[in-house]
Amino acid sequence: MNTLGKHFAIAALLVLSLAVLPALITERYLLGEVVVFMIWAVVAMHWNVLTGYAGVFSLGQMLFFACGAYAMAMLSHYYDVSPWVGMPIGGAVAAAVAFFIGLACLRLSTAYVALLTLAVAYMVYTLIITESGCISNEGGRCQRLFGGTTGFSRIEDFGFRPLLRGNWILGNYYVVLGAFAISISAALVIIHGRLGLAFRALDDSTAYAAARGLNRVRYRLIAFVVTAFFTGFIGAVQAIHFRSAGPSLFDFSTLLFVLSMVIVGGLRTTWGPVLGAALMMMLLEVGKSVGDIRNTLIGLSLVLVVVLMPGGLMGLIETLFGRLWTRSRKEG
Amino acid sequence: MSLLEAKGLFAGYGRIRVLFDVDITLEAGHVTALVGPNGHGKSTLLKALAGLVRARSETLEFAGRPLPRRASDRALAGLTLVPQGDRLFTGMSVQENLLMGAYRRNEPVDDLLAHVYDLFPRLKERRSQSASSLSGGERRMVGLGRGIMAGGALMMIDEPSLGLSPLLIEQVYEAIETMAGEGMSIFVVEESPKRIESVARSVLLMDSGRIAWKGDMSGFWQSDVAQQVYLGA
Amino acid sequence: MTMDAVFQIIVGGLTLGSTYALAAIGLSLTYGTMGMFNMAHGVLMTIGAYSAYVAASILGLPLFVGFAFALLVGMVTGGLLHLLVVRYMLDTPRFEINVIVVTAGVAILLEDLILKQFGAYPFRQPVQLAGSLRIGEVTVTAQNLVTFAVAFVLISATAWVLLRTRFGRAIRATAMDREAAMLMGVNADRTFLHVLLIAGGLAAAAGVLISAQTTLSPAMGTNPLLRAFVICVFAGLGSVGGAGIAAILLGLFEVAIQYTLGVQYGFPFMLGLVVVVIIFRPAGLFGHTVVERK
Repeated sequence: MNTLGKHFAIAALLVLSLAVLPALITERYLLGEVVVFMIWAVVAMHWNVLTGYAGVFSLGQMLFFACGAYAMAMLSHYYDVSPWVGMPIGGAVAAAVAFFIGLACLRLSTAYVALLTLAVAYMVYTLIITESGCISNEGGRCQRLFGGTTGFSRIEDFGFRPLLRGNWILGNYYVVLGAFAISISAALVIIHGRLGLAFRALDDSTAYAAARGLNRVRYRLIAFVVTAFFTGFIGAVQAIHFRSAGPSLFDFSTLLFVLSMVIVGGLRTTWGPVLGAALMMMLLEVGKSVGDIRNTLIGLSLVLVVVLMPGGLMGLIETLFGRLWTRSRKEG
Repeated sequence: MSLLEAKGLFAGYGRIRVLFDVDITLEAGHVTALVGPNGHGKSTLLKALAGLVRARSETLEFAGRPLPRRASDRALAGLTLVPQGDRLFTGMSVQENLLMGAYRRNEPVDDLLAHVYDLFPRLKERRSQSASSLSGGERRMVGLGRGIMAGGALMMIDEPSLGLSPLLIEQVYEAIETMAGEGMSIFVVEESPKRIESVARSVLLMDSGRIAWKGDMSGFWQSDVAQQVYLGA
Repeated sequence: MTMDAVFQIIVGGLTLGSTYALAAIGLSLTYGTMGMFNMAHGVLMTIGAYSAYVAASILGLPLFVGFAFALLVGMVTGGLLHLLVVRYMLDTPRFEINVIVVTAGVAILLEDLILKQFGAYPFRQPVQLAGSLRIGEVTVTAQNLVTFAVAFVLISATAWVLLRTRFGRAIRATAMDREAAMLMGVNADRTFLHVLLIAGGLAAAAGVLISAQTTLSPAMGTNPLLRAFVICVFAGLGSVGGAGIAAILLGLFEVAIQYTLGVQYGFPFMLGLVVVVIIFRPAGLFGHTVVERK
């Protein structure tokens, strides 16, 4: 079996086990946590595609996520657009935003890209929360175009509440699982398909790749836009699931929370971010019982993992298995 | 007593081994040449001695003491490397470059500076000019001048003729001859032994990462190895 | 626009620009010397601001001592950042990305500690001067003048050290060619420590001045950090002198925009201008390398 096939088998196994999970846990809180896990896992996985494989270190991932969420919320709020239509539109909006940001900064080196994406995200956040005009004034409530500091709430959801009643979360669960399956498959196709091959060629030797006719900036832009699409798509899904979108999506701590998933799991490893998402969510869940130490835990994880275990957990596992493998071959 | 002594030195880049079991002894007060075809480890040996390339060895002594590990500490100990391609500080003026050469010295360096300007009058004219605006020959002079400013016990020069026109090469070797005449200990890498034969007293021939021959310059051309490598006999 | 308005913009712009300059040159120096993009630079400002507050309000020290104390704490924090974290990462693969991640981690960690210690509510920075003078219709506060003077003195001192001393030459040499500097006897590791000490001190000073213009709050470093970043990009990352000039220019520009269009448009316009500049000059206004090393 080729690499892509192998990883698809792993993905199928993962999706299948997530699909039967509701048979084992019925607690709504836990199911909700798994839903959140799937959402963050998608953001982390595509961030890793972009940074680990395409070599673009963006700090604008939550901006793209917010683009999807806001697009969904605003379409629903202003035009009553159905969630099923809004999800892909959310992705498309994020992709379009990424395209223009990418045009401006992807020729530049690592630090510049990181900094400009972060600055743009911060600027958008500032503009949203400082918006002063009202576009309508219903019952004395000022409605700002982008929702101001409160954002949008009570937007239309998937419509499982009247259908499934108390079990509505199951409906949401399977929709998110579907979105998760689509998004991680896309990530796998990028990493282990032709695009991934081009990234590797560009990473090994820019000169060689240029000689083969690979344009570095073009491939980076493709990666930037495609990963932004899925990040925005899952952002729209999140907005529907929580029936809201607001400026807290831009919190620096949220950005670093998702980044810590990528780093703890292992940058440039196929499944690291998914593992990292699960681990970081569990870590913060345990932390909650101790007190409000969320940001401390995120900060510490980032520092400790990068300094002591730069390949992340998956990197560590690969090295250990690699060693066992060579040893067993030597002995055999 | 020998100035620098290395025994059983191995070095390389990552998994690629470049030097194998190199033994060298350099005497104080004269010029030793390290010759050999390109790509056989001459520069790597200088870098290994300077501490820029990882190496392991049985003995590595400089002026009777074991060499420290860090490249910067070796420079402070008086082992100076004038690297290939000059590696000037391009954002600094000529004089600032020369002053960086004297970084290891705590005493005033005006005399040394005057000495370098005597040797290379061109540099005096251009002392406040940015190093990035210099011609190839001038850059080489700054590189050598920086080495002189260090005032170390041993100056290692990596291919001083690289990329220069024949006329400039002559000038550079004249300068090296002057330095040698002042009693400086110099270890110079050169691809072609012809260029260095009038300056160097002893010579080491490096072939495939090993020292293939060593001895006095006068006996070099008579050796079998030299004939094999250079005359194709 | 009246002459008074222009003059008011210049006073405001110079004050803002000089604090930005103070914040930006340390950041630029760190990037230029070590290739390290320090996301914790903002929290160093916050630490400086709170240290001055602790010294002046809680320990009751004179304002000047409070300021000096802030500088010291900033330097120590910068130094510790190097000794405890960064030095173990030097020369590792993907250093540029990893160091951003690590310093971001340090930033959120320290910010959280400040939040736990001092609470989330903003309050007034005691280390500042009261009083103002009026020239025609234009108000110049004493704090305006002090800010400008302090920034001027600290930046000049930094420039003098970098350009005129053996110590500063070693820092610049390391920035230009680390290996060549080592061959001159410069210990790169120690130089990096020195750079983070300087950057920490400058950041802390900027933090005190910024908090005097606004308030103390745990997240106060984020905004000036991003502005400092943008200034460094505008000038060309690593161009220290350029960062100083760019900061003054952008400070004036931002105040002019704030005055004419509204406060919230200051940063967006500044960022827009910078994006336009880097599209035409990717290395920034004063940079000479399109730092895409491969």
